[in-house]
Amino acid sequence: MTATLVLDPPGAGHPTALACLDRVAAALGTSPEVHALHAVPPPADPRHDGEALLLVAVRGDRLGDFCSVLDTLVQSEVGAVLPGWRDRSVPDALESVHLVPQDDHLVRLRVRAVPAGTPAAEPPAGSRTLLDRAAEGGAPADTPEDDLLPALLAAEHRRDRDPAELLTETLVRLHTVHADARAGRSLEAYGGFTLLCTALRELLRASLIAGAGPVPHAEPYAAGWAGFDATLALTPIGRRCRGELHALVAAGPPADTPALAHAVELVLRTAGHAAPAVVAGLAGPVDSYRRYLHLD
Amino acid sequence: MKALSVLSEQVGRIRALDPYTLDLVGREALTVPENLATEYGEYQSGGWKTLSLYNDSGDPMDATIRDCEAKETTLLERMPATRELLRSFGLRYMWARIARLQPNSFLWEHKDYHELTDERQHHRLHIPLVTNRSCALVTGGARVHMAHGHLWWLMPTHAHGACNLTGPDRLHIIMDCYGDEAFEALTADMGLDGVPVDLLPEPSKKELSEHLDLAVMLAGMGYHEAAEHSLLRLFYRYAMPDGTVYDLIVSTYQRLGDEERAEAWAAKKNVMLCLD
Ligand SMILES: [Fe+2]
Repeated sequence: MTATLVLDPPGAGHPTALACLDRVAAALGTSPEVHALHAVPPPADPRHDGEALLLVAVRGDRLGDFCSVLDTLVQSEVGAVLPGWRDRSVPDALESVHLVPQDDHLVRLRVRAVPAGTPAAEPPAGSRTLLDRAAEGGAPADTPEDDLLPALLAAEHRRDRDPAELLTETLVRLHTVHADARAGRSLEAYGGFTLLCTALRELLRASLIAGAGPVPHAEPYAAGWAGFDATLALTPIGRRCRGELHALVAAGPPADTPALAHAVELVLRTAGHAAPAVVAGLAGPVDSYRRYLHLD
Repeated sequence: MKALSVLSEQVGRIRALDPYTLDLVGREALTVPENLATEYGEYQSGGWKTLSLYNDSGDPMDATIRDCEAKETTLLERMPATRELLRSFGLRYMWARIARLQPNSFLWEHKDYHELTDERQHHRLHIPLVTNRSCALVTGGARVHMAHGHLWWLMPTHAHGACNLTGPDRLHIIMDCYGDEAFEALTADMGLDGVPVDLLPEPSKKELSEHLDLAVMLAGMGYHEAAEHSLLRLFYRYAMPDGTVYDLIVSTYQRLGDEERAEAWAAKKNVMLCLD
């Protein structure tokens, strides 16, 4: 088996990510409700090795339906290793992340769904258009009143995220953090690591703290971490989770494969104490994740 | 437990295989030519490739199942450890092959052997060479992971399916043989003791109708294959009466007024489950 894509030198043209995008475009472009597909080029910095972004312009009044079927579509037609999760750190867009195997590599596929005919559907400079029905004369004109995006975004931020989605986010962010740490981008790795730990914290809150709800945005101290040690210390399971979480934070962003294996173990043990059924339910995909990253 | 005793008539772990031998066999299988023959067909999602080790003609590319006294293929001649292992079982083979199952590949719910006419019992054996925890065999409402390190038995006349859900590639040697004294001796201690078996839950009405609604939405947007696959994959998730996933696809197309597709899937169910 070959090495994972994150090992590829920057500037190699990301052939694996492009091959992945072609496959995804073939699957998503089947629907006449999808008006355009654009492969958005990665920013110049090499953090985005192993990452691919697809901009999907959907007929405005079908955007909600598209978002409802997207994860099933990507899992069944593209074969994502883990279920998709919505990245709420991307402002003003419905962007989901799916970990997709491509030629024995793992690609973090980002799908940004936007209403066709709105400014958000304009492809950024340098994008490669994979489908454009208007150019083919196949799409009706889009009307701006079809724009459901603001309502869908508001609903997304009101939605409680379940532990399975949070575990998936944690594992996928770990994939990114590892790439940064290995490449010596320690500060970026640290930034990603805080997002990873936050997702894991939210998993613990959702699983262990009845009626926890989302962390208030305006929380004044430690951005949602205030009092968390004490909260976890109240119960035996909480204390076990705290021990694993302390070890994860103390070890920091994993820069090599043994450190990555250790971090994955700590994440799974933490999640396993708090939400054992979720970890058991993802046993197959998590084993695949390990094998693609050569952690077995 | 009733479910387990029924299950033990459909699948079993025969015995552990010598790890050193298994390593050699795995190495040989991993270095065979890449151009494994692809078997197209209704039984699978794609991503299923085989090369024959024993068959009627001795040609490794010949992948048709039929009653015969199978002989070693020219490929097996180049795989000494594998040949030694297969000979060591002393079985009368009908067919033996290397089978590669790629990620996100499925053999949809089906039954085998019904086209065979020989009155002797037929049996299927598996030797997992490369596998992962997302690989599963589903039969009798249970999901079994055929773990590396053992020889496994399957009676494929029951509705069953196999998948490699999330990869990487799965590589098995699969053998079809006749029931005889050697087979009885080999499988004398077979069972499911210590084998992790997931008894699948039965779906609630609400769950089934949600899956159906999602499939209708997918098909209604033009994602016909995804709609079909999303329902066919439920066989790996729930214990349901034989053929339920095909009935759900028929219902999907009926709801959309697509009688042509509905009829095609009703016919396909009969083929897959040998109902004609
Ligand atoms: Fe079969």
